[in-house]
Amino acid sequence: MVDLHCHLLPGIDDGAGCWEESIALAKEAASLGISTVVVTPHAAYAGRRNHPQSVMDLTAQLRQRLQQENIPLQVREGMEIPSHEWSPGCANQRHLCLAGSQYVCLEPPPGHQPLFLRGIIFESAVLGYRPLLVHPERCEWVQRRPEILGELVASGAQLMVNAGSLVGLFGEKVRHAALELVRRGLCFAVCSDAHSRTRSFAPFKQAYCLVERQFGPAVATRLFRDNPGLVTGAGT
Amino acid sequence: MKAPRNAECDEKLIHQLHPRSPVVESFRILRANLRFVSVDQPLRTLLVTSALPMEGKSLVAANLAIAVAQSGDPVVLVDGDLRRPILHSMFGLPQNPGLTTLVVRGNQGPSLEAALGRPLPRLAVLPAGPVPPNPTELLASRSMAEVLRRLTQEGNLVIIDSPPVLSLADAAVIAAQCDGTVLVVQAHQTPYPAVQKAKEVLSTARARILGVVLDRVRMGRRDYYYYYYYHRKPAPKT
Repeated sequence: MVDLHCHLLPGIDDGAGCWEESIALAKEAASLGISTVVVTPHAAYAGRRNHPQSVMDLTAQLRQRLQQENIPLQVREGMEIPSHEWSPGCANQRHLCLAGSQYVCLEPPPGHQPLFLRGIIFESAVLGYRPLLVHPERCEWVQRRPEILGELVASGAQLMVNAGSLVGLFGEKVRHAALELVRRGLCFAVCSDAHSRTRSFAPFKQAYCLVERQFGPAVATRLFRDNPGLVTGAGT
Repeated sequence: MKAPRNAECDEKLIHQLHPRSPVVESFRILRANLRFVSVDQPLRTLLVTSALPMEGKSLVAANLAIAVAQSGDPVVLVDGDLRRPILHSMFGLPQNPGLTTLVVRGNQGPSLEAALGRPLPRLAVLPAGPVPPNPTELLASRSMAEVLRRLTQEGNLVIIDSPPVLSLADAAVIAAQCDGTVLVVQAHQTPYPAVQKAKEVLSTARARILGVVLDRVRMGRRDYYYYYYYHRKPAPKT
């Protein structure tokens, strides 16, 4: 399995707090059958921006540590970018795409559907980027009207659902919206969004089993391995 | 089990039918008629539209394009429906890059060749591209006119599919840039006032209405040759 979205890098956002936690999480990921993760720290956290170079450096350090500890987990670099911060014109100076690909991980705002969102997605798609909207199922405006996402997909977005949402970690409304997206075939990939020991990779595996049971093994393979593999494979 | 919408559309594309089937024949007749409706002005760009949604525009546009390609002329089929594009899924092509990509990026973006799909010999299909938030403005832009001009160099005829005429300005905006427009009308279905209103809107936009394609005609055994009528209307007064 391939996970496109987790906060595994230590000390730069609300994810892993220290190296020990990072290593423990990585160990868990590998033991669950995850072969590759893309680390996606918040582009900005607590008023501090994470520079692409510092994320690359930290990713390289993590890779080295995993090698030392003999943990069989590939780590690629990425970022979770608030959708209002993303500007396709100055992508490289400020932000990182996922694993050197054209896919960008964008976080939609939770409360209301912003007017700019469709424009930003269209602009990115036309410029050759592939905007991946993360956990839209957690947004209130999506729960109210999931069909809005069809429009965003037509404009070039691809949707990534949180494993935790599917297994009910964020409540019934979110779980319902997440399942609906998978059912409608709007979901491109499922991601772990793992942060810490308490929000770990475990739901990723649980969600895999759930999708396999409810939608069949072909869908599970597509959402947990093939589609995310397209992203990490595209950069190599 | 009910087939998904795309598969249904697929089956109705005429290159997959028997060459002597009446449906295929009717598209050859339509093709031949179009060759003669436009004597003074060569027909290089043709808009296919309808008054209302779901009247079969895209299918008529696609099948007409196939019929033209099969007759030996290179043809370009363009998805100008930037609201609900469907041609890419009819031909199993990626939606992006496409028309909007070319219009927004001009010479900076992917080449025309990279955006065109070629599902059959002599048939090039330009998908819609990502759906923009402002379709009408894109279609009315100078860059759109430039893309159209470049497309006419790719084929003898450029056929453009569009949203319905009523309730949206898109079709009228494209019609104004085309040499001719045909209106798809559903037999026994489209209300007469809707067709009349659509004709008015198109005429106001200075579209040249070549005629009407009557779609979904109920056919008896004996008159299968007239499955699709092509009926020429008097030329619009200018």
